Amino acid sequence: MAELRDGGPTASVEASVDADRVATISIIGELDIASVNSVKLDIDRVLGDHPHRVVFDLGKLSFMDSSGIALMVQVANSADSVEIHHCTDIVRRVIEIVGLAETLGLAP
Amino acid sequence: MLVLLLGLLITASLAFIVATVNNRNENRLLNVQVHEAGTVLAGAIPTIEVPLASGAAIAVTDNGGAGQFDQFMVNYVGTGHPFVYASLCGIANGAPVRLASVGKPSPAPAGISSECSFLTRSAGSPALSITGLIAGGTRVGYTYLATGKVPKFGVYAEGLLPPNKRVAIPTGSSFSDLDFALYLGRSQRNGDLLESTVAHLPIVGRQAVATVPFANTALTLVGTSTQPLGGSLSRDLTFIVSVLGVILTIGATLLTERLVRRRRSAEDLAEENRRLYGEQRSLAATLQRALLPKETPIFRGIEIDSRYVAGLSAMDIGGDWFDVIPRNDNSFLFVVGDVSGRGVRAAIVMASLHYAVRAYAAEGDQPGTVLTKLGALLDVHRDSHLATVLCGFVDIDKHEMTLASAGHFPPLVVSNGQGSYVELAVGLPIGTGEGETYASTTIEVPPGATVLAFTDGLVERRKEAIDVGLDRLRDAAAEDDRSLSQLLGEVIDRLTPDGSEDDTAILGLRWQN
Repeated sequence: MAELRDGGPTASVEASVDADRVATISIIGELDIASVNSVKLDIDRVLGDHPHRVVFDLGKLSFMDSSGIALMVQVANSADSVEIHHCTDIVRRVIEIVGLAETLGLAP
Repeated sequence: MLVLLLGLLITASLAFIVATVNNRNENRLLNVQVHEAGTVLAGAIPTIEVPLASGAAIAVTDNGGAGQFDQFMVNYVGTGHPFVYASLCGIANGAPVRLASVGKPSPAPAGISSECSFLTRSAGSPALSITGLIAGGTRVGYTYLATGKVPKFGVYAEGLLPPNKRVAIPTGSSFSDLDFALYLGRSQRNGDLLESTVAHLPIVGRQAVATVPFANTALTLVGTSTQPLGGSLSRDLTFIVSVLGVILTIGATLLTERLVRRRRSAEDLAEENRRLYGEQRSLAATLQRALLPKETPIFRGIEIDSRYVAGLSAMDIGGDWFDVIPRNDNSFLFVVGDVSGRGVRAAIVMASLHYAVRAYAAEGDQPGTVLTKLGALLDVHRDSHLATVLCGFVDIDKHEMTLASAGHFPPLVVSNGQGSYVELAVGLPIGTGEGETYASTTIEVPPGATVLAFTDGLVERRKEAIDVGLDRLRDAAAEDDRSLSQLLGEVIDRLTPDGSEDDTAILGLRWQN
């Protein structure tokens, strides 16, 4: 049983949409296979307002795996434009290595 | 069982203590009440003594005149008064005679004939005397000697006892919780009974006795309580404690039983979970292995080896894969890929990409084309999965390698103890960019060089930039005097000393010198 990780959520989301239909989504913690589903539910609620622009704040995201990248690409595809603000170095390198910096609007 | 016994034992002890305390308390309260009643009784003695003393004093003053005595004593004789009969005795010609009387004397012969004889017999005795029960025990006789060295006058009186010697204590009195029996003298003989509140004597059970001095004798008051003096709660406390204790004990026993049973079933469940978990893990591992090449093809001039390690958190089947597909004796296509997420759906995506690559390889496609075609198979929006894929075409004799990457790590090339990652145009992961085309990059591989292609489980660590993991891999792979198999084993041991969280696939190619 020791191999079982504790199942608690490892990420939380703060998301809002302003009057100009710009969605700001802050993901805090670790976005991985364990947390991606709950994060996705929170983000889907915001995407229900059909924002035309999505701004990710990843300043407090300490880890992201390929599941997290898949989620971000899904979000990016559902808006006209996407930007990443405040990205930690760890997450920045993951995005750069998979070649998605431009797609996800991560400024160099 | 132990709990039951222990609980009953505690209950019994508590009930015993409560009963003992209650008993002691009741005894004490009864004792206090009976002695209080005795004090009240003693306070009533003057109501007998004072009229007699006054009657005697009047006789002395009046020198035995009947008129004054009658006039005074009539106030104390009759219904509602202490006496039913009183007489004035005097000495005439040396013999006691009755000088006056009020009320009716007792019909008994002892009464009239001898009522004044006390004057001669009791000279020198205390003023008030009780002659005892007379008239068949229905009356009490009193005598009172007038003061003087040789008393010449005395008063004789009879008090009536209540019918059947039964009385009732008025409700609301401070003694209404008591039953009592009052005896003349210090004994509790039936013949000495003056009055009682109960029909059956002697009083049995819990009782208290008070003795009050009364003239030449005493009054003995025996009291018992008709109801708990400490209130009904204190009486019932023993019962309440017993019942509650038994209920609590039974409850505790049942609860303990249930807890024991629940713990046992929780242990069973945990054991079952462990078994199922192990089963699922091995099932996932079996499925994964089934999708991976059973053996890598053998080529002249190049050695190929691989490792696959399931991640520690691998409850589900992962999406890592690798493959080596020969084109001819001198060349082959290899692929290392990672489908995001886990579970059966990720495995299905992985399997479809895996077989698609084989199909494209069979068509003779180059890596860039393979990836471009794969892009049409997957859409992260539709499938919720994306995949990073590194595809390479190796021409063994030409020492050439053509690479294309869809968001995947570049391979590490180790040559002459130096490791470096191939600089490579990285395209979007499969599934993220519709119509994305992937460029191929061709590099030359020095003789004796080792190429390592791998998935993120090998280098990715939480709380650490990916470059740290990549540098670690480069350092671990740099020494090139080991066999390829040794190298792969040691790289995995050094990079994932405690096992990686994620699945790890690593494919190694080594050109012979």
